Amino acid sequence: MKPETAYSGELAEPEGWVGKALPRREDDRLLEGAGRYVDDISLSGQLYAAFVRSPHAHATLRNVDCSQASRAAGASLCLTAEDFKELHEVAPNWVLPRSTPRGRPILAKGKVRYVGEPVALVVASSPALARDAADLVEIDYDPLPAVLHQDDARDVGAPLVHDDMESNLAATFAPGNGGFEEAATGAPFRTQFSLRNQRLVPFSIEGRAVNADYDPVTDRMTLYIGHQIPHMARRMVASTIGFPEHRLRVISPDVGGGFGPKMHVYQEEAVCALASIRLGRPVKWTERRSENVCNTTHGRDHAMHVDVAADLDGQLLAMRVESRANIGAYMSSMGSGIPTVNVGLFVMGVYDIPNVEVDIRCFYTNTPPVDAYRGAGRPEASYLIERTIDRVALELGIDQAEMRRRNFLTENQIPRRQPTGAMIDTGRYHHTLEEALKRSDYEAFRAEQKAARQTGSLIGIGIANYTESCGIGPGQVQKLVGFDRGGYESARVRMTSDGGAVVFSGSHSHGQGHKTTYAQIAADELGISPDRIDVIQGDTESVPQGVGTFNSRSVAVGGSAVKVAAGRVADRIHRLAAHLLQAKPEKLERDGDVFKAPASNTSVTFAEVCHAAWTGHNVPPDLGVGLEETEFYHPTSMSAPYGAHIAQVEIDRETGELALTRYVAVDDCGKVINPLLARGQVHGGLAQGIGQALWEDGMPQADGSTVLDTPLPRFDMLPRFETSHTVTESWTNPLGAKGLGEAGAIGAPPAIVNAAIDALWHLGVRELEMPLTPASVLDAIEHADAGGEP
Amino acid sequence: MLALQAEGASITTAEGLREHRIGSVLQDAFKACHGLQCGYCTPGMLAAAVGLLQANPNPTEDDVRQALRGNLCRCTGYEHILDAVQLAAANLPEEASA
Ligand code: FES
Repeated sequence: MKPETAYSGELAEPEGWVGKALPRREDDRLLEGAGRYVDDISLSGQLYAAFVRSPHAHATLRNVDCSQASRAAGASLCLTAEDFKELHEVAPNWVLPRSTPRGRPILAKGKVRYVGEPVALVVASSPALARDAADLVEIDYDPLPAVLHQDDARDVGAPLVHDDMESNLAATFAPGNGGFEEAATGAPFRTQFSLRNQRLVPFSIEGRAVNADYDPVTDRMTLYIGHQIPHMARRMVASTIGFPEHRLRVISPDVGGGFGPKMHVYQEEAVCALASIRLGRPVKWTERRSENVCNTTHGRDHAMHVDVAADLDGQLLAMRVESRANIGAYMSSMGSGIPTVNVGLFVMGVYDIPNVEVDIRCFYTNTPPVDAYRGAGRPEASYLIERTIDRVALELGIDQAEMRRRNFLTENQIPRRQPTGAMIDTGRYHHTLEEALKRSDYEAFRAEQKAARQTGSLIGIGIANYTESCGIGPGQVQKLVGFDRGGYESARVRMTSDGGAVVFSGSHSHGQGHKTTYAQIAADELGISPDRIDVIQGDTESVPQGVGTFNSRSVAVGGSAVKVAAGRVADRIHRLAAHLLQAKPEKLERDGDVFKAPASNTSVTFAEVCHAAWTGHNVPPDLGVGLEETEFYHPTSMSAPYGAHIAQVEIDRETGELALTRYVAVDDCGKVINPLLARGQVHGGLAQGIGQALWEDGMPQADGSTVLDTPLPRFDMLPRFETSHTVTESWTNPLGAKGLGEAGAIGAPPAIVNAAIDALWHLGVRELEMPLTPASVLDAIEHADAGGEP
Repeated sequence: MLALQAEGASITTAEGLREHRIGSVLQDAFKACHGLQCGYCTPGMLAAAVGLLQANPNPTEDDVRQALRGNLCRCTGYEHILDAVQLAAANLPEEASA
């Protein structure tokens, strides 16, 4: 099937609500300080938790003594692993078929495996008293040799993170169609190089928090957790501690940023729930920043190697990718899938490469667990292929834009399943690239660059034609790769008797603006203003079921569920109006809020129809009483949004300092529901992607502790972004949407590093490693000079 | 500043900004420009922006960047906040910003 709409440049003024740049309806509260995050919620009888954490990357746990702590002022409970009959473990939810899962024990037993691992919990009457009491827990450790890097972890004889395993190898994944050696041997051109996708700390400004409220009278528990997937939190906590799901309610209020880590359950949620059961009182824990950087999951951390063959025109013939991923001390929820499936499938990017082999190995190390962080695998894949394209182009002396034109999949090859298994639904890569080249004045820049070389100044331009496969589903595919959750999303649309609507959404915002965009989608279906539509999310008791907000799936999958459910409700309203007016549905006319039957010259208002549905006084049996519809929208395929990002940089030859002078992003996420919010998503992703390229590094120190001493992007560190869209609607869902939330984080690192190498290639610089600190850039320049390359 | 340094001063938080001339113009501008996503950093951004506009009613882009650089935001990439502060400056009645 071919895309039906193809549009580029500025977005056209829409006819309905979808496509309008509406300001957000969630903002008023947040602007007036009335946001309600987990830590704002205090209950009667509230108690507070503090955790004692391992200061060692690897040690035998000799003895944990709670006697002092339990007697401390205000303390009511001190728990260690010994206090539980069985060893509760937070098990991974995505277990790759060829993997050896080791979940996180909720409190360390026998051994600690990373700095920050929780060993004991103390509950007291205030947060300060809880921390004071925690200091009194006495723990004897026998330190063991630790292994922090994947390349050390794979050595024979390396310290074993899990003693019951024979090596630290946690998972392997090898997609592709083979045939690399045959194709590469004797190819006119072949090159290989290594690159690193460094570990990152996701760092939402609100950390994690939980308030666990067990009620002994009703034997029910309510958990307040700022979460991306409240239903998943319910399921994971329930299965971890053995509490029935039907008596467990999760409420996720306002969420202060997520970016991936807030879609899992960790030790703290489970331990606080168990503490609340023991005490019969609510127990709250709010993460401190130092805890956030060492126990909340990290992202990326791949050491990669690529071997690639091409003809002399730059046409790629074969590629072989090897990657070694560091997944930390335990297999986090999606920890075996993100570095394997989410990387391996997408290493071909948007290109036509006849033979591809991928070999990914994941290793346990004595570091905090690694899991999804904005982009989650696709940034690693895009970085690899986009850097490879540039590398081949530069070695062969082909312009980098032209290199891409020669290797793009063409429109008549799409839809397509790539040899690695990635599904591509739409793609007009030439078109989007040309748009970005035009907007970034590519040709003019090249002329300027030539002139700049004469004066010795170093400027470069870099392209990234990223793709981010979105809207994971259908569920059958997830099953094949061991991902034990659904690919659908739910929406329930319920009319009220005054003609308003409530949308219950399984997907849950942590800043994206679902309350606004979902109302826009429902408004078009129902033919009423978004002001008459409320959106409820984040409560397992009111929302039917939820797969949640991740993988840029909320609009494409959750939004489609809203559209389908609202469409069915609208149809029922129409038929009931016809019944009330004793007219045939197809003869009925709608004029704003009024249904008219021209033949009888009678009319009924939209609100009157809704009222009639709920009184049930005059409703035909086939329509039934009430007015609500629930849709579990299950996509038949993923979609593959893409874009062309172009960065321009200037490098100071003396200091190695890099200035990002321009950033042009042309994204194709299909149908844009709200251009203002879409731009916000691109900006946020770009800031994180630029942070990865230039500043951030979350790798623990030599002693295993995670100290964030590299800068995060600040206000004065980023340029203005030049963003726009091409619109190629997806056929995989009724909205025609694809996804956009992760675009910036995926596109920016390769665009910027490509630009930096473009600026330095003529000096002999061949490789740079992220983050591009002045010291590392300077070092590369100096070594290139010393090597005397061209 | 630290709380102790505010000894004896009157304090306005985000909850009171609706009543504040510059604060309420800023709130409207943040909404119009999509200057917030998760909203967690927003009270701090608003407070810093009020301080800036009190001292400097017509800030350049660089002035805004410098004045707000102490406030981290992980969601917005800052550009829409920049737009919001500039829009608020443009919308402030002359006497209000004096
Ligand atoms: S809006 Fe989320 S941290 Fe600024």
